[in-house]
Amino acid sequence: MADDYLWDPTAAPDPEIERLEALLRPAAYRATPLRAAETPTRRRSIRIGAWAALAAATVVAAAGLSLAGRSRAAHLAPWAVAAAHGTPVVRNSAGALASGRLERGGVVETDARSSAVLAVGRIGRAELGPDSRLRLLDDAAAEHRLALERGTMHASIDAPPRYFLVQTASALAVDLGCVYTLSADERGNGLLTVEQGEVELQMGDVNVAVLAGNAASLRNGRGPGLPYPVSASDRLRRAVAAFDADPASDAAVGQVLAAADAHSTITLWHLLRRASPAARERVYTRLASIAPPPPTVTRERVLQGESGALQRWRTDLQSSWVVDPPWWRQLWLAMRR
Amino acid sequence: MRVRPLAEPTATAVIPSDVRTIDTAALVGAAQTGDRAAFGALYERFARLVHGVLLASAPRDDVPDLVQDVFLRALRQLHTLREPAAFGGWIATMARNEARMHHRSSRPTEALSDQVAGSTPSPETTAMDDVLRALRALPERYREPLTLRLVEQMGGEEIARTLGLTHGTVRVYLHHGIRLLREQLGHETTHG
Repeated sequence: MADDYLWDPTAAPDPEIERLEALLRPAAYRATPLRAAETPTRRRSIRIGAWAALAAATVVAAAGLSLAGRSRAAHLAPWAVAAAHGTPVVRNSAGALASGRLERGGVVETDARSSAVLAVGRIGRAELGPDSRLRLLDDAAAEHRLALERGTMHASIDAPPRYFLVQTASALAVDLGCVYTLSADERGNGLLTVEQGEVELQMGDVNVAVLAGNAASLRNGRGPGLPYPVSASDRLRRAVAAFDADPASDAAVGQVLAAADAHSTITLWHLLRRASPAARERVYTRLASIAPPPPTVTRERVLQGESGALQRWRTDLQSSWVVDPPWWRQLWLAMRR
Repeated sequence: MRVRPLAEPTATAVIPSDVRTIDTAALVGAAQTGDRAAFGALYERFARLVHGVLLASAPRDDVPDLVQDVFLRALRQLHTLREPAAFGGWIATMARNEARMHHRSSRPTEALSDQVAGSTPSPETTAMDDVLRALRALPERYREPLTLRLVEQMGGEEIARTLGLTHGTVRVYLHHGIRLLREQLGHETTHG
């Protein structure tokens, strides 16, 4: 009942939520006319301390950008390409060398000694590592779609969820608003590591959520692998790799179960969805021993693979899945946006 | 590359007076050609969303000014919006960025209290600020939908539509957010 009212304010009220609504009512938006566009937008005074902080931040930012050798990319026009190192090449859709702007169907290529920065439309940037090739499939208003044909791409995107998509030979990476690194070879084997936000990996009906602080491999012909925390032990990484290589292997499931702990419930929850019906009970038992499911999520519902029950359990689990970068890394990422 | 320069504002309104029947994309399209009445209609339609997004991060007293700042910035940058139907997500992102910039430019102590120095808040105001503080302490993905729901009285469908999220995602965020909020408030009640 509470959830119904939480979703739909016209449903039967939940007394506790009503109490919160009443408390918060004075903070709600009150219609006021929009000021004229010519009105100065800042009315708050800026103190000397703020100016000093601004100057210091500018110096740090400039130094950071300079150190990274990316200052040329700071003001790129949409789909412009800049060299970070060496001499990356831009080709048009016909394969001919093009100027420093990527067009639909065109590619950016780097060799072993070069790297590039691409302005992803107006929504962010993608840094292309050495030995990489990135193709622009679609720059339409509804979505921006790239194909990472090989190599490594670090994307920093500020756009509505599902607006920025990157295709590899084995899976589609759907941006849900974030910073991530994707690597893939020409056959689609690779790795996704998410630093901020969330990326969904899709192949057919396989759908894997990779949240900040987690990674997942991509496998040719098999699509996305099990997600695991970036901080996972070598033992868990090896176990996940074994499962990704042979999901039907009972031994591989056993290895993951043995290596998983309270910090890797993201792996166990996804394993619950991916394991064979025969193995599912063992996975349920292991996950339930670490994080008991909510009362409505019964063993029977989970073993039947009931989507609602799995999602409900995930709701309780997923707050522990996100591991944001340390403050200095967040500062660094913010500076480069 | 299709870059449309922002046209000079025109005095002629190209939309009918009852803007409630016009879809957002049409309003954005009209506003991009310089129709200020259409932009005004977008303001009326999305000010509540922007207010909620800002309130989820910024001090309550600063939010009305920040709402204005966001829309003025949006007016200047509207020509860069290439998918008119995505206006809601676009301006919500702008509001988040505004809140971040405001946070960076504010004194660290400012975030600790919504109360005006020197005044004695009523018990109701204190209770409201406690809840707002607890909301802001939630992870970002939960606090925004929950603020829109509890403060701005937006329904789940409307939140999903305007933020460009799926119904399932918003349901999960609301559900999980309210649980965390209860824990937070319970903790404050016990220890505060």
